[in-house]
Amino acid sequence: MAEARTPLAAIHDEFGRARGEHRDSAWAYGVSWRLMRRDVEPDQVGEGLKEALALVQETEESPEVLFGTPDEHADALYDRWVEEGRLHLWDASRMTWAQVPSWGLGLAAFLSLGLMVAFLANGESSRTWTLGMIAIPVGIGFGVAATWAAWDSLLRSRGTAAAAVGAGGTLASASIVTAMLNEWSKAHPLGHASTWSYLWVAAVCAMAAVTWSRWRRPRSAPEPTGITDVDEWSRELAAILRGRHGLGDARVRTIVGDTHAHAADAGRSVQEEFGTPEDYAARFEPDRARKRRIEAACWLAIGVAQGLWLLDDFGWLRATVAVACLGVAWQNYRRD
Amino acid sequence: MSEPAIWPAPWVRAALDLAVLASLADGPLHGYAIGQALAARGFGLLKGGSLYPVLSRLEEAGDVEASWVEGQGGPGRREYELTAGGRERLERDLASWRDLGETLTTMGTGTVRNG
Repeated sequence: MAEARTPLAAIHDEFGRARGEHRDSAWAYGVSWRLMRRDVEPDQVGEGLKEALALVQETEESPEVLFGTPDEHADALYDRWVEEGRLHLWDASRMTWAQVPSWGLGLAAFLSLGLMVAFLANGESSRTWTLGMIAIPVGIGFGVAATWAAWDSLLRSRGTAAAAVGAGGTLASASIVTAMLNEWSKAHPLGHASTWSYLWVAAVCAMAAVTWSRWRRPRSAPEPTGITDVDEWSRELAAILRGRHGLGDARVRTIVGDTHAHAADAGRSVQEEFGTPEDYAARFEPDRARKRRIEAACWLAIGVAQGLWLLDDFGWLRATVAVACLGVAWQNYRRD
Repeated sequence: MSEPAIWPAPWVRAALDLAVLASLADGPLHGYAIGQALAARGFGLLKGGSLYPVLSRLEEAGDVEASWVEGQGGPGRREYELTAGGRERLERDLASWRDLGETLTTMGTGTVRNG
Protein backbone atom coordinates (compact mmCIF):
# COMPACT_ATOMS: atom_id res chain seq x y z
CA MET A 1 0.00 0.00 0.00
CA ALA A 2 1.39 3.37 -0.96
CA GLU A 3 2.20 5.58 1.97
CA ALA A 4 0.14 8.77 2.20
CA ARG A 5 2.13 11.94 1.46
CA THR A 6 1.79 14.89 3.79
CA PRO A 7 0.53 18.11 2.15
CA LEU A 8 3.99 19.69 2.58
CA ALA A 9 5.77 16.72 1.00
CA ALA A 10 3.34 16.94 -1.94
CA ILE A 11 4.24 20.63 -2.41
CA HIS A 12 7.97 19.78 -2.31
CA ASP A 13 7.32 17.23 -5.09
CA GLU A 14 5.42 19.81 -7.13
CA PHE A 15 8.47 22.08 -7.01
CA GLY A 16 10.51 19.24 -8.50
CA ARG A 17 7.98 18.72 -11.30
CA ALA A 18 7.45 22.44 -12.10
CA ARG A 19 10.67 22.73 -14.15
CA GLY A 20 11.81 19.12 -13.97
CA GLU A 21 14.64 20.12 -11.62
CA HIS A 22 15.12 18.00 -8.53
CA ARG A 23 17.09 20.78 -6.81
CA ASP A 24 13.91 22.95 -6.77
CA SER A 25 12.33 20.31 -4.56
CA ALA A 26 15.38 20.49 -2.28
CA TRP A 27 15.02 24.29 -2.20
CA ALA A 28 11.39 23.98 -1.07
CA TYR A 29 12.42 21.43 1.55
CA GLY A 30 15.07 23.87 2.83
CA VAL A 31 12.47 26.64 3.22
CA SER A 32 10.12 24.27 5.09
CA TRP A 33 12.88 23.01 7.35
CA ARG A 34 13.90 26.51 8.49
CA LEU A 35 10.30 27.60 9.11
CA MET A 36 9.36 24.37 10.90
CA ARG A 37 12.40 24.75 13.17
CA ARG A 38 10.83 28.02 14.23
CA ASP A 39 7.55 26.19 15.01
CA VAL A 40 5.59 27.81 12.17
CA GLU A 41 2.32 25.95 11.55
CA PRO A 42 2.68 23.49 8.64
CA ASP A 43 -0.40 24.94 6.89
CA GLN A 44 1.19 28.39 6.90
CA VAL A 45 4.49 26.96 5.61
CA GLY A 46 2.49 25.35 2.78
CA GLU A 47 0.78 28.68 2.03
CA GLY A 48 4.17 30.40 1.70
CA LEU A 49 5.52 27.64 -0.55
CA LYS A 50 2.45 27.66 -2.81
CA GLU A 51 2.93 31.40 -3.46
CA ALA A 52 6.52 30.72 -4.52
CA LEU A 53 5.49 27.68 -6.58
CA ALA A 54 2.95 29.74 -8.55
CA LEU A 55 5.67 32.21 -9.56
CA VAL A 56 8.12 29.42 -10.45
CA GLN A 57 5.48 27.80 -12.69
CA GLU A 58 4.63 31.13 -14.30
CA THR A 59 8.16 32.34 -14.98
CA GLU A 60 9.99 28.98 -15.24
CA GLU A 61 12.86 30.62 -13.36
CA SER A 62 14.58 28.75 -10.55
CA PRO A 63 13.29 29.57 -7.04
CA GLU A 64 16.86 30.46 -6.04
CA VAL A 65 16.93 33.18 -8.72
CA LEU A 66 13.45 34.43 -7.81
CA PHE A 67 13.66 34.35 -4.01
CA GLY A 68 17.27 33.75 -2.99
CA THR A 69 18.53 30.88 -0.86
CA PRO A 70 16.04 28.78 1.14
CA ASP A 71 17.17 30.47 4.36
CA GLU A 72 16.73 33.94 2.86
CA HIS A 73 13.23 33.18 1.62
CA ALA A 74 12.20 31.48 4.88
CA ASP A 75 13.41 34.53 6.83
CA ALA A 76 11.56 36.89 4.47
CA LEU A 77 8.31 34.92 4.88
CA TYR A 78 8.71 34.79 8.66
CA ASP A 79 9.36 38.55 8.90
CA ARG A 80 6.42 39.32 6.61
CA TRP A 81 4.02 37.23 8.70
CA VAL A 82 5.28 38.88 11.89
CA GLU A 83 4.79 42.31 10.33
CA GLU A 84 1.29 41.41 9.12
CA GLY A 85 0.44 40.10 12.59
CA ARG A 86 -0.50 36.63 11.38
CA LEU A 87 2.36 34.39 12.34
CA HIS A 88 0.70 31.14 13.44
CA LEU A 89 2.83 28.82 15.50
CA TRP A 90 1.99 25.29 16.57
CA ASP A 91 2.85 23.31 19.66
CA ALA A 92 5.81 21.56 18.07
CA SER A 93 7.61 21.06 21.37
CA ARG A 94 4.54 20.39 23.52
CA MET A 95 4.55 17.38 25.83
CA THR A 96 1.31 16.39 27.56
CA TRP A 97 1.13 13.93 30.44
CA ALA A 98 -0.74 11.53 28.15
CA GLN A 99 2.28 11.47 25.82
CA VAL A 100 4.78 10.67 28.59
CA PRO A 101 4.50 6.84 28.35
CA SER A 102 5.03 6.75 24.56
CA TRP A 103 7.93 9.25 24.64
CA GLY A 104 9.41 7.70 27.78
CA LEU A 105 9.36 4.19 26.33
CA GLY A 106 10.65 5.44 22.97
CA LEU A 107 13.61 7.12 24.67
CA ALA A 108 14.15 3.98 26.76
CA ALA A 109 14.45 1.94 23.54
CA PHE A 110 17.19 4.24 22.21
CA LEU A 111 18.99 4.34 25.56
CA SER A 112 18.94 0.52 25.77
CA LEU A 113 20.66 0.33 22.39
CA GLY A 114 23.13 2.98 23.51
CA LEU A 115 23.96 1.07 26.70
CA MET A 116 24.41 -2.15 24.72
CA VAL A 117 26.86 -0.48 22.35
CA ALA A 118 28.75 1.09 25.27
CA PHE A 119 29.10 -2.23 27.13
CA LEU A 120 30.14 -4.09 23.97
CA ALA A 121 32.70 -1.39 23.19
CA ASN A 122 34.02 -1.89 26.72
CA GLY A 123 34.55 -5.61 25.95
CA GLU A 124 31.63 -6.79 28.11
CA SER A 125 29.90 -9.33 25.85
CA SER A 126 27.95 -10.83 28.77
CA ARG A 127 26.77 -9.45 32.10
CA THR A 128 25.05 -10.34 35.30
CA TRP A 129 21.60 -8.94 34.68
CA THR A 130 19.65 -7.10 37.37
CA LEU A 131 16.32 -5.33 37.34
CA GLY A 132 18.27 -2.07 37.58
CA MET A 133 19.85 -2.61 34.18
CA ILE A 134 16.37 -2.43 32.68
CA ALA A 135 15.15 0.23 35.11
CA ILE A 136 17.95 2.66 34.19
CA PRO A 137 17.00 3.25 30.51
CA VAL A 138 13.28 3.09 31.31
CA GLY A 139 13.70 5.40 34.33
CA ILE A 140 15.77 7.92 32.37
CA GLY A 141 13.29 7.80 29.46
CA PHE A 142 10.25 8.35 31.68
CA GLY A 143 12.15 10.89 33.80
CA VAL A 144 13.06 13.04 30.80
CA ALA A 145 9.55 12.85 29.30
CA ALA A 146 7.86 13.59 32.66
CA THR A 147 10.24 16.52 33.32
CA TRP A 148 9.42 17.91 29.90
CA ALA A 149 5.66 17.49 30.54
CA ALA A 150 5.92 19.14 33.96
CA TRP A 151 7.83 22.09 32.47
CA ASP A 152 5.41 22.51 29.57
CA SER A 153 2.14 22.19 31.49
CA LEU A 154 3.27 24.42 34.39
CA LEU A 155 4.78 27.00 32.03
CA ARG A 156 1.43 27.36 30.29
CA SER A 157 -0.72 27.37 33.41
CA ARG A 158 1.48 29.02 36.09
CA GLY A 159 4.55 30.68 34.61
CA THR A 160 8.30 30.24 34.38
CA ALA A 161 9.19 29.97 38.09
CA ALA A 162 6.57 27.29 38.78
CA ALA A 163 7.66 25.41 35.65
CA ALA A 164 11.33 25.46 36.73
CA VAL A 165 10.47 24.21 40.24
CA GLY A 166 8.08 21.54 38.92
CA ALA A 167 10.51 20.30 36.28
CA GLY A 168 13.42 20.24 38.76
CA GLY A 169 11.31 18.35 41.29
CA THR A 170 10.13 15.81 38.70
CA LEU A 171 13.68 15.21 37.46
CA ALA A 172 15.02 14.82 41.00
CA SER A 173 12.20 12.40 41.95
CA ALA A 174 12.71 10.27 38.85
CA SER A 175 16.49 10.18 39.42
CA ILE A 176 16.14 9.16 43.08
CA VAL A 177 13.58 6.39 42.36
CA THR A 178 15.71 4.99 39.51
CA ALA A 179 18.91 5.11 41.59
CA MET A 180 17.23 3.43 44.57
CA LEU A 181 15.77 0.67 42.39
CA ASN A 182 19.18 0.14 40.79
CA GLU A 183 20.93 -0.11 44.18
CA TRP A 184 18.30 -2.52 45.55
CA SER A 185 18.47 -4.72 42.45
CA LYS A 186 22.24 -5.24 42.80
CA ALA A 187 21.54 -7.53 45.75
CA HIS A 188 18.94 -9.48 43.71
CA PRO A 189 20.59 -10.49 40.41
CA LEU A 190 18.38 -12.10 37.76
CA GLY A 191 21.13 -14.22 36.18
CA HIS A 192 24.00 -14.13 33.69
CA ALA A 193 23.17 -13.35 30.07
CA SER A 194 24.55 -11.82 26.89
CA THR A 195 24.83 -8.01 26.61
CA TRP A 196 22.97 -8.43 23.30
CA SER A 197 19.86 -9.07 25.41
CA TYR A 198 19.49 -5.28 25.46
CA LEU A 199 18.07 -5.76 21.96
CA TRP A 200 15.05 -7.47 23.56
CA VAL A 201 14.68 -4.64 26.07
CA ALA A 202 14.82 -2.08 23.26
CA ALA A 203 12.32 -4.02 21.13
CA VAL A 204 9.82 -4.40 23.97
CA CYS A 205 10.11 -0.69 24.88
CA ALA A 206 9.67 0.36 21.24
CA MET A 207 6.62 -1.89 20.76
CA ALA A 208 5.05 -0.66 24.00
CA ALA A 209 5.70 2.97 22.93
CA VAL A 210 4.00 2.43 19.55
CA THR A 211 1.07 0.56 21.14
CA TRP A 212 0.49 3.35 23.69
CA SER A 213 0.80 6.02 21.04
CA ARG A 214 -1.79 4.33 18.80
CA TRP A 215 -4.15 3.70 21.69
CA ARG A 216 -4.00 7.36 22.79
CA ARG A 217 -4.24 8.82 19.29
CA PRO A 218 -7.47 10.84 18.96
CA ARG A 219 -9.88 9.37 16.41
CA SER A 220 -10.80 12.83 15.13
CA ALA A 221 -9.72 16.39 15.83
CA PRO A 222 -11.88 18.10 18.46
CA GLU A 223 -14.26 20.71 17.15
CA PRO A 224 -13.02 24.22 17.98
CA THR A 225 -15.31 25.87 20.47
CA GLY A 226 -15.69 29.60 21.00
CA ILE A 227 -14.49 30.77 24.41
CA THR A 228 -17.09 32.97 26.08
CA ASP A 229 -15.63 33.26 29.57
CA VAL A 230 -13.12 36.12 29.95
CA ASP A 231 -10.98 34.22 32.49
CA GLU A 232 -10.76 31.19 30.21
CA TRP A 233 -9.90 33.47 27.27
CA SER A 234 -7.14 35.12 29.33
CA ARG A 235 -5.75 31.78 30.53
CA GLU A 236 -5.69 30.45 26.96
CA LEU A 237 -3.99 33.60 25.63
CA ALA A 238 -1.39 33.54 28.43
CA ALA A 239 -0.71 29.82 27.83
CA ILE A 240 -0.12 30.38 24.10
CA LEU A 241 2.13 33.41 24.66
CA ARG A 242 4.22 31.63 27.31
CA GLY A 243 4.26 28.14 25.74
CA ARG A 244 4.49 28.77 21.99
CA HIS A 245 5.85 32.30 21.78
CA GLY A 246 8.27 32.02 24.70
CA LEU A 247 7.33 35.42 26.12
CA GLY A 248 8.33 36.22 29.71
CA ASP A 249 5.78 36.25 32.55
CA ALA A 250 5.87 40.03 33.07
CA ARG A 251 5.21 40.73 29.41
CA VAL A 252 2.37 38.21 29.28
CA ARG A 253 0.76 39.78 32.37
CA THR A 254 1.00 43.18 30.68
CA ILE A 255 -0.55 41.97 27.44
CA VAL A 256 -3.45 40.26 29.24
CA GLY A 257 -3.95 43.25 31.58
CA ASP A 258 -4.14 45.62 28.60
CA THR A 259 -6.87 43.52 26.99
CA HIS A 260 -9.06 43.73 30.11
CA ALA A 261 -8.58 47.49 30.50
CA HIS A 262 -9.24 48.17 26.83
CA ALA A 263 -12.34 45.96 26.70
CA ALA A 264 -13.73 47.73 29.80
CA ASP A 265 -13.10 51.16 28.19
CA ALA A 266 -14.64 50.12 24.89
CA GLY A 267 -17.64 48.52 26.62
CA ARG A 268 -17.14 45.35 24.60
CA SER A 269 -15.95 41.85 25.36
CA VAL A 270 -12.30 40.85 24.96
CA GLN A 271 -13.40 38.44 22.24
CA GLU A 272 -15.05 41.25 20.26
CA GLU A 273 -12.03 43.55 20.60
CA PHE A 274 -9.19 41.04 20.26
CA GLY A 275 -10.64 37.96 18.52
CA THR A 276 -9.72 34.45 19.58
CA PRO A 277 -6.66 33.88 21.79
CA GLU A 278 -5.00 32.11 18.84
CA ASP A 279 -5.55 35.03 16.46
CA TYR A 280 -4.50 37.66 18.98
CA ALA A 281 -1.36 35.74 19.94
CA ALA A 282 -0.44 35.58 16.22
CA ARG A 283 0.06 39.36 16.31
CA PHE A 284 3.03 39.08 18.69
CA GLU A 285 6.51 38.17 17.59
CA PRO A 286 7.88 35.12 19.43
CA ASP A 287 10.83 35.73 21.75
CA ARG A 288 13.15 33.20 20.09
CA ALA A 289 16.22 34.51 21.91
CA ARG A 290 14.59 33.79 25.29
CA LYS A 291 13.53 30.30 24.20
CA ARG A 292 17.09 29.55 23.09
CA ARG A 293 18.54 30.84 26.36
CA ILE A 294 16.23 28.54 28.33
CA GLU A 295 17.19 25.54 26.15
CA ALA A 296 20.87 26.42 26.51
CA ALA A 297 20.47 26.68 30.31
CA CYS A 298 18.91 23.16 30.44
CA TRP A 299 21.76 21.62 28.42
CA LEU A 300 24.32 23.53 30.49
CA ALA A 301 22.78 22.17 33.72
CA ILE A 302 22.94 18.58 32.41
CA GLY A 303 26.53 19.07 31.20
CA VAL A 304 27.65 20.57 34.53
CA ALA A 305 25.91 17.77 36.49
CA GLN A 306 27.72 15.18 34.39
CA GLY A 307 30.99 17.09 34.94
CA LEU A 308 30.52 17.09 38.73
CA TRP A 309 29.81 13.34 38.62
CA LEU A 310 33.08 12.90 36.72
CA LEU A 311 35.01 14.38 39.64
CA ASP A 312 33.73 11.52 41.80
CA ASP A 313 33.86 8.68 39.28
CA PHE A 314 35.66 9.28 35.96
CA GLY A 315 34.44 7.50 32.83
CA TRP A 316 35.08 8.29 29.18
CA LEU A 317 31.41 7.77 28.21
CA ARG A 318 30.22 10.25 30.84
CA ALA A 319 32.96 12.71 29.85
CA THR A 320 31.81 12.49 26.22
CA VAL A 321 28.18 13.07 27.26
CA ALA A 322 29.23 16.09 29.39
CA VAL A 323 31.19 17.65 26.53
CA ALA A 324 28.35 16.95 24.08
CA CYS A 325 25.82 18.62 26.41
CA LEU A 326 28.04 21.68 26.81
CA GLY A 327 28.47 21.78 23.03
CA VAL A 328 24.69 21.67 22.47
CA ALA A 329 24.23 24.40 25.11
CA TRP A 330 26.74 26.62 23.30
CA GLN A 331 25.14 25.89 19.93
CA ASN A 332 21.68 26.81 21.27
CA TYR A 333 23.03 30.00 22.79
CA ARG A 334 24.66 31.01 19.50
CA ARG A 335 21.94 29.70 17.15
CA ASP A 336 20.17 32.07 14.80
CA MET B 1 -10.59 48.34 12.27
CA SER B 2 -14.35 48.68 12.75
CA GLU B 3 -14.78 52.28 11.50
CA PRO B 4 -13.25 52.84 8.08
CA ALA B 5 -10.12 54.94 7.81
CA ILE B 6 -9.92 57.72 5.25
CA TRP B 7 -6.79 56.15 3.71
CA PRO B 8 -6.35 52.64 2.26
CA ALA B 9 -5.80 49.95 4.91
CA PRO B 10 -2.23 49.06 3.78
CA TRP B 11 -1.19 52.71 4.19
CA VAL B 12 -2.72 52.84 7.65
CA ARG B 13 -0.94 49.62 8.59
CA ALA B 14 2.38 50.95 7.33
CA ALA B 15 1.99 54.24 9.18
CA LEU B 16 0.56 52.82 12.42
CA ASP B 17 3.78 52.77 14.47
CA LEU B 18 4.48 56.37 13.58
CA ALA B 19 0.85 57.43 14.14
CA VAL B 20 0.89 55.89 17.63
CA LEU B 21 4.14 57.69 18.45
CA ALA B 22 2.69 60.96 17.11
CA SER B 23 -0.46 60.55 19.22
CA LEU B 24 1.77 60.60 22.32
CA ALA B 25 3.67 63.74 21.32
CA ASP B 26 1.51 65.98 23.53
CA GLY B 27 1.66 63.78 26.62
CA PRO B 28 0.89 60.33 28.01
CA LEU B 29 -2.32 58.50 27.09
CA HIS B 30 -3.75 55.09 27.91
CA GLY B 31 -4.41 52.56 25.16
CA TYR B 32 -8.09 53.27 24.60
CA ALA B 33 -7.42 57.03 24.43
CA ILE B 34 -4.68 56.44 21.82
CA GLY B 35 -7.23 54.52 19.72
CA GLN B 36 -9.70 57.43 20.06
CA ALA B 37 -7.02 59.97 19.10
CA LEU B 38 -6.14 57.98 15.99
CA ALA B 39 -9.83 57.63 15.05
CA ALA B 40 -10.26 61.42 15.40
CA ARG B 41 -7.38 61.89 12.92
CA GLY B 42 -8.92 59.62 10.31
CA PHE B 43 -7.13 56.34 11.00
CA GLY B 44 -10.42 54.57 11.70
CA LEU B 45 -11.42 53.14 15.07
CA LEU B 46 -8.80 50.49 15.69
CA LYS B 47 -9.77 47.40 17.59
CA GLY B 48 -7.62 46.49 20.56
CA GLY B 49 -6.27 43.54 18.60
CA SER B 50 -4.58 45.93 16.14
CA LEU B 51 -3.44 48.61 18.59
CA TYR B 52 -1.83 46.77 21.50
CA PRO B 53 0.65 44.66 19.51
CA VAL B 54 1.97 47.97 18.11
CA LEU B 55 2.26 49.44 21.61
CA SER B 56 3.95 46.26 22.82
CA ARG B 57 6.43 46.43 19.95
CA LEU B 58 7.19 50.10 20.59
CA GLU B 59 7.65 49.38 24.29
CA GLU B 60 10.04 46.51 23.53
CA ALA B 61 12.01 48.84 21.24
CA GLY B 62 12.24 51.43 24.04
CA ASP B 63 10.28 54.07 22.12
CA VAL B 64 7.48 54.26 24.68
CA GLU B 65 7.30 53.40 28.35
CA ALA B 66 4.22 52.47 30.31
CA SER B 67 3.14 52.78 33.91
CA TRP B 68 0.12 51.28 35.65
CA VAL B 69 -2.60 53.68 36.73
CA GLU B 70 -5.20 52.47 39.22
CA GLY B 71 -8.66 52.11 37.67
CA GLN B 72 -11.66 53.91 39.17
CA GLY B 73 -14.31 51.22 39.51
CA GLY B 74 -12.72 49.13 36.75
CA PRO B 75 -9.49 47.35 35.95
CA GLY B 76 -6.22 49.31 36.17
CA ARG B 77 -4.79 50.53 32.89
CA ARG B 78 -1.38 51.37 31.55
CA GLU B 79 -0.50 54.86 30.48
CA TYR B 80 1.95 55.14 27.62
CA GLU B 81 4.52 57.91 27.29
CA LEU B 82 7.16 58.73 24.68
CA THR B 83 10.75 58.15 25.76
CA ALA B 84 13.59 60.41 24.61
CA GLY B 85 14.50 57.71 22.06
CA GLY B 86 10.87 57.53 20.90
CA ARG B 87 10.75 61.30 20.43
CA GLU B 88 13.95 61.13 18.35
CA ARG B 89 12.50 58.27 16.29
CA LEU B 90 9.28 60.24 15.76
CA GLU B 91 11.19 63.23 14.37
CA ARG B 92 13.43 61.04 12.22
CA ASP B 93 10.56 58.97 10.81
CA LEU B 94 8.38 62.02 10.16
CA ALA B 95 11.24 63.52 8.14
CA SER B 96 11.49 60.28 6.15
CA TRP B 97 7.73 60.27 5.47
CA ARG B 98 7.85 63.87 4.29
CA ASP B 99 10.75 62.92 2.03
CA LEU B 100 8.80 59.94 0.68
CA GLY B 101 5.74 62.11 0.09
CA GLU B 102 7.79 64.72 -1.78
CA THR B 103 9.47 62.03 -3.88
CA LEU B 104 6.11 60.52 -4.85
CA THR B 105 4.70 63.94 -5.65
CA THR B 106 7.58 64.87 -7.90
CA MET B 107 7.46 61.43 -9.57
CA GLY B 108 3.74 61.84 -10.12
CA THR B 109 4.13 65.23 -11.72
CA GLY B 110 7.05 64.06 -13.85
CA THR B 111 9.60 66.38 -12.24
CA VAL B 112 13.14 65.08 -11.94
CA ARG B 113 14.27 65.41 -8.36
CA ASN B 114 17.84 66.38 -7.67
CA GLY B 115 19.73 65.34 -4.51
